Amino acid sequence: MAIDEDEDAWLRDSPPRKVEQEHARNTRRQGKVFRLDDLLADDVKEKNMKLEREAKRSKVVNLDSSSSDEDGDEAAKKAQFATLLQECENQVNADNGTQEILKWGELIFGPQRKAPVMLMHNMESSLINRALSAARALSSSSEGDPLPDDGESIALELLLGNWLLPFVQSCGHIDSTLSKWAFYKMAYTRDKDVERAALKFLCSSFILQAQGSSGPAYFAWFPCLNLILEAVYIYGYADTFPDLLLTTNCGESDEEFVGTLGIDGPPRNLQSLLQFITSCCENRQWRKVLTISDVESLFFVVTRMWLDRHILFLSSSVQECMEALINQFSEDEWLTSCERLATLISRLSKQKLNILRVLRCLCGVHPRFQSLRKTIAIKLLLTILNSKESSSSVVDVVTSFSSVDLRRDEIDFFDLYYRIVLADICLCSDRSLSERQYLLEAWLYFLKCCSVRISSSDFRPYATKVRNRASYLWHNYVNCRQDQAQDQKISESSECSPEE
Amino acid sequence: MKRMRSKREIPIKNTLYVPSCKRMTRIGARHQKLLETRSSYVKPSKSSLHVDGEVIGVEKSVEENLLAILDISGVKDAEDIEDDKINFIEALHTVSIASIVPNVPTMKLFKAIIQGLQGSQTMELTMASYQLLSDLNKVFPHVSINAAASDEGVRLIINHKVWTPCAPDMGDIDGKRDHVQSSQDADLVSIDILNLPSLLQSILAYFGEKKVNPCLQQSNKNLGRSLIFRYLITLLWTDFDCRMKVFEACRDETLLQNSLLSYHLKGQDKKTYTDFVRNLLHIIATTAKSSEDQMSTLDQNAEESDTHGKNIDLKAATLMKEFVCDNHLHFCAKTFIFMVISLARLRNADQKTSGVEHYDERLECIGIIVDILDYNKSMLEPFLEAIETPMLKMYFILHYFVKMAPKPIVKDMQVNLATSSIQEMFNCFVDSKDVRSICRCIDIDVLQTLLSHGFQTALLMHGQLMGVDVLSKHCQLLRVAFENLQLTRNKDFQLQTFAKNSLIIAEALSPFISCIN
Repeated sequence: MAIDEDEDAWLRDSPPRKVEQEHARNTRRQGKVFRLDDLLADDVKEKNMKLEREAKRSKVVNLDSSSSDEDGDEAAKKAQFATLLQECENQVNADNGTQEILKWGELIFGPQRKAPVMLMHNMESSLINRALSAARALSSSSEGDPLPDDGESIALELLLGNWLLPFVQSCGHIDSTLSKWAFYKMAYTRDKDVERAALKFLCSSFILQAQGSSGPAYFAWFPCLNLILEAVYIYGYADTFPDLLLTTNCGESDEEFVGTLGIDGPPRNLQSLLQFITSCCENRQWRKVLTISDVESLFFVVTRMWLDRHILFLSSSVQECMEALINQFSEDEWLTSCERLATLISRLSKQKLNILRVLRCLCGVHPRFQSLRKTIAIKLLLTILNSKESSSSVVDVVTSFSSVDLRRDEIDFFDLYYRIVLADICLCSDRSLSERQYLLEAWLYFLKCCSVRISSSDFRPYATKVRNRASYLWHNYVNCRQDQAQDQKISESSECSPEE
Repeated sequence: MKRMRSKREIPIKNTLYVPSCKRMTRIGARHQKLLETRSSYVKPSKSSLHVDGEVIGVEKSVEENLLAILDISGVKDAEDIEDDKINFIEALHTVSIASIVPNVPTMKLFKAIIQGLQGSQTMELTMASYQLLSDLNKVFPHVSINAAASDEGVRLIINHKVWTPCAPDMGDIDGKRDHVQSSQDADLVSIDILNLPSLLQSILAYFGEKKVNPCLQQSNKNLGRSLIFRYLITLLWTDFDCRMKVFEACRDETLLQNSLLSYHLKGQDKKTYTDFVRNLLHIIATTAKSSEDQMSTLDQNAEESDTHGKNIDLKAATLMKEFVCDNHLHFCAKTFIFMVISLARLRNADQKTSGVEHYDERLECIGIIVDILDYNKSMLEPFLEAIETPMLKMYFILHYFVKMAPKPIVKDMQVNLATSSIQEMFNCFVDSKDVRSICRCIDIDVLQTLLSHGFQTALLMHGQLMGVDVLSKHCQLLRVAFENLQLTRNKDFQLQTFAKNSLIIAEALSPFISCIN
């Protein structure tokens, strides 16, 4: 009983039922973990209710207006929204610079053409005939050996074993037929060993001819321009300047050129051909065979090869070949040839990027590359400025930039970049710039403006490139100005010192 | 050129952004200053044969400005980074080579070019970087010869300011040996002359893997590695060529001891080095064949799928690139072998004249080559074809013959190998008894190769050294030698194509000789 009383007492002491319920609700609320989803759901619910309320209100307002009007309005709004969206999209695209930026490159070598075949047995070579009769004599003495059938097979065997050069050297003369045959083998064979052996034979025979004094006079054979251009043409050279290759005479094998082989890009013999031209250039006698315009044409054809991305890995051979070719001109010839080459190269492509690529590649060790680059740059700037004067001065180059307004929205930054690069090529080696202080200052001012007024976050194509290039150049030309100031100080002090 | 790091740093209008710039001094004064400040390079002891070269280095502020082109902060995408690297190469060319007064790039600039070449993603950058490196080597060689000073004789000019990745006296400011290596990319191989074997190994490993999984990017990377290999070999060659010329004039052994080649040889252990030479010999012997195989597989593929024209173009381009890669490697292998044989020949000749035995065992490369070729006999012929200098080829043929032949027969030749002629070797084949004992030691095919190549080399040297009498004697001796070989072996004897050609030439030259007489 005592226990029962106690229980009752406990029941009596407990809080009233209402309070108890509230307490339970509170603890339940505290126990629940509010998730982000719940908050979101609440928010959506509230918003929906608000919208419903507003809808009810607007219904009351528009109760009188007809339903057809409502539909028309909606359609118009939709159309308006679509155009707005389109505009925004366009704007965003323009700002982000997602316009496709072109890359340099041009297909210089298209499908290969059918190569001419030149066989030794169709020709008369006294050396090969002698070797042939020796081989016959040898095989008749030893029984069982098959008789060598024709000059072609014996010539090939001797070529592959590198026997032609010692043979020629011991006989003391070389016939042009043999050299020409070796050239055809080098240029058109698919056999790598034959190609290598032929190149080796030709290059070594040129060295022999250059030495001259070591034996009896070697008959000098050198390929004429047509022979080389013919090879380049057969490799698939796509020609945009037909007048240059007009002289290409295909001769006997004319009929074989009809139709293409369907293989794109040049064969690997191109590398051998380039090395062959390089070694020809090392022999002074080759210049007697070629005219100045021949060398110019060849230089132009080789320069165009820089534009084909497929033969990028041949760059070092192309570069060596160009270095050798540019060395072929005498000092007097270069003065006129430089102008002519510059005119040709400046019209080489309509794409400015391609022009920039060629200018970038025309930078060999030889100082003539600098003068050629400069002449090309001047010619290109003249066409931009529409100047009719044949010679452009530094003043023209610098003043042309004063009209550039960087704040305009529709400014073509690529065009500006192109002009800055050209101007730099003209100005960097120009001494007259440092003589005229105001011009240097004007140029520096323009470069400063570019690096300051173009934001680094400007997403228009080429904007940051202009900015970066300009600030790099600014730095360089400031150095140039300080050099000049230093020079002036020293010259002034040296003028003063004798008086002291 | 400095790039802005963030939008906040963009200067307000009318406030000009002026990068910090050190004043440039006049060229003469600058040169003087550079001489003083760059004394951190460890210079080798001065000898009467060495002259210090005088070249002007790129100014510090110009260097900073150039390196800023490579700064990648704030650049939008990877294509721009590659573009910037190409711009850097062009700008550096303008500053260093095309400038009115050429300036040597500093070590940092050199490293930047090499890193560009190693990490290049595009062929354009790879080729441009290599081109600049080789141009720089032409304009500013680390070692050159003064040709003009006739009264003082030929002298070696060492340009200490020209940084090379492999010169033993080139280091960082603290004097430690410096390796161009980036820790970010594990694929990059350390650029050092001592690492040539591992570099070659990685190139060859690619060719092994390629058949399983051909990939354009990997082939690009491999081309880059091959170009670095070629650049290092060219550096070795430039150095060796100059030293060899001066050595021939003055016969000072220290010149060769200080060469990069000797430095490279001293740094190798024998096993690595033997593997390296074996790899080089394999390249010389097999590149042609492997390329032909690739071409034939390409033709098969072309026939199989005409529809995927573009794919084939890509493959053709890759194959052609590998062909070029092969050509580079072939050139490197030939050059290296040429150098080690020249070194051995020079040292051998020097040893005989001075009478002092100071032959370094490590430099005994010819022995290694002979051993390898003895084991792989099929490699002998392509190897001999690859040696282009007749005098060296002759030296090697005689060396090989003397090492293999029975000692009593070649006793006289062994004494003065460097000055022996092919006639002495031919003389060993006159007596049929001798021929029989030689045939017991040397394989008959190898003998044919040695004899006919020896004859070819003698003809090539004919212009300079031999008269008509000697020539006719040679032709006669060759015929006698082959007749004796045939007699010894009788029915087993099979004439090789190359040997047959040598007999044809000997036959063809005979009426010519009688005509002159």
